[in-house]
Amino acid sequence: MDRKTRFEILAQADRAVLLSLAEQILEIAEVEVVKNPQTTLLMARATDSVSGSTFNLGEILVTEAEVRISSGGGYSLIMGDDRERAMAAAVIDAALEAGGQYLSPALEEKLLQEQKRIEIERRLEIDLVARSRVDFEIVKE
Amino acid sequence: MTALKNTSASTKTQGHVSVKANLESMQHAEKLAEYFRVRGNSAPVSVDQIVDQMRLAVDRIMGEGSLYAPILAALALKEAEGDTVEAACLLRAYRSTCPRYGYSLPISTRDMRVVSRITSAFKDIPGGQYLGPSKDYSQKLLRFELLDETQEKFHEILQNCIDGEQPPPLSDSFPKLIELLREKGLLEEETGSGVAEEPHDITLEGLVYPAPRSAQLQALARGESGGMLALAYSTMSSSVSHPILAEIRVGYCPVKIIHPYLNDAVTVGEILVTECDMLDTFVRVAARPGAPKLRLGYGLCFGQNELKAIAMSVLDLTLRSGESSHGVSRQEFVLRNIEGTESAGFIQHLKLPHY
Repeated sequence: MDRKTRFEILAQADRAVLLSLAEQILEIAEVEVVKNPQTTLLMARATDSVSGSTFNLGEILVTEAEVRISSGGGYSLIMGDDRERAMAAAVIDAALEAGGQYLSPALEEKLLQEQKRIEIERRLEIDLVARSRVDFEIVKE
Repeated sequence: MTALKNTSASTKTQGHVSVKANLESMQHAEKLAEYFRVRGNSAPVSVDQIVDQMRLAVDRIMGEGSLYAPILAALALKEAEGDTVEAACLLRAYRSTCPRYGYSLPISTRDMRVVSRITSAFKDIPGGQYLGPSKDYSQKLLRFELLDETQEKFHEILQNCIDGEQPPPLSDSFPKLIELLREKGLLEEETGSGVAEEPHDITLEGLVYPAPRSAQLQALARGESGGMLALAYSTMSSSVSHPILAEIRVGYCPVKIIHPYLNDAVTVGEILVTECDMLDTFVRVAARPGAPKLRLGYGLCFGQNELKAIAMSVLDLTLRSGESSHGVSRQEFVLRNIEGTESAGFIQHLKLPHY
């Protein structure tokens, strides 16, 4: 799993799953906190249809955390105000980055399961929306 | 806070006297408000319930509070006892205490995971039309069965929606209709477009008139829905003509940042937005050289809020019309009056002593 995919799964994974995985890592790893988890504002930018230029749509509440496990730097940024979840995600990221003893097939497997779960949930909604397809016919007088 | 500030301003200009009152009264007033909130002795409303079941109010508050944070928007609605203007104000006050992370990459509404997509200008469009979660075609009848709902009933509703035959799948991305019109040369091109200048951020610099287009769009995106509705309707209520909605879509857009270790774009999550492209049909063709062109108005806001996105696109059109006969074509008039927190603060302050 590449780091980009990992970040994206960690950012959207279930809270309970993240906390339980991080706890397992904390039992065996020495974690150095690089950046205390902080709730902060991410300004969402968007593109104006008229001019094609960028504007500031509004802010998103996010929580960011950064930790280190031996040589592995772990980083997370999640939506919402949840320091524990951000911390857990950063710890998992760092463990996978550090590799070695912290790597376990079960850990990666669990993340892949989360990826699949998110995908299935989205797919269901996409399919439900598909059923609202409408075709308007012109009525001949 | 706005109200207090306004009072001191008017004290100076109109010669009102300063007043003071006992703190106990104010503290008791606050207690009394809490008493009225809970006196019915019903079960406390949970924030989760508000997020799920007061979905559109939460979306509206996030838009007007200019902060995408569903749980906090629900909390604000609970605290404000259902007053959305007050809830948006609470959310804005909260955000002013948070540090800033920075900016996302521009979200792409083309990559939207579409929840609904409608055009009123064309019968057939590439990708098709989807009504989505909408009651536009339902009768406006009170559904008395909602008086007595149970968890079992909820499960039944979910199952009922999931069961049934699956039609062809939805496309992963939908072209924007206006891009097709633009390719055919039917759209009026905005002069000075395509310049990659840093967008104005009104949360940092405030609005100075005339405001650049980026600031205008940001102000409209966080405007108060009711105020925007009234102003947008005022441009049409006494007129026989009206603009044509090219496309309105609601859906989830991925939000991307640059990952500090990878130095590459990564997705943080998704935000629900409503986007509207509106075409002006009362274009003064004679006043413009060349073939007649359609003018485009743009609307985009947090959450599912079609009324606001449509109103925004209508106001964008009137603001660019250059007609001085209507107040709604003046930028300062529109942006000042759709600002919910400030306008509510000012109107509220009329309740404070002005001796």
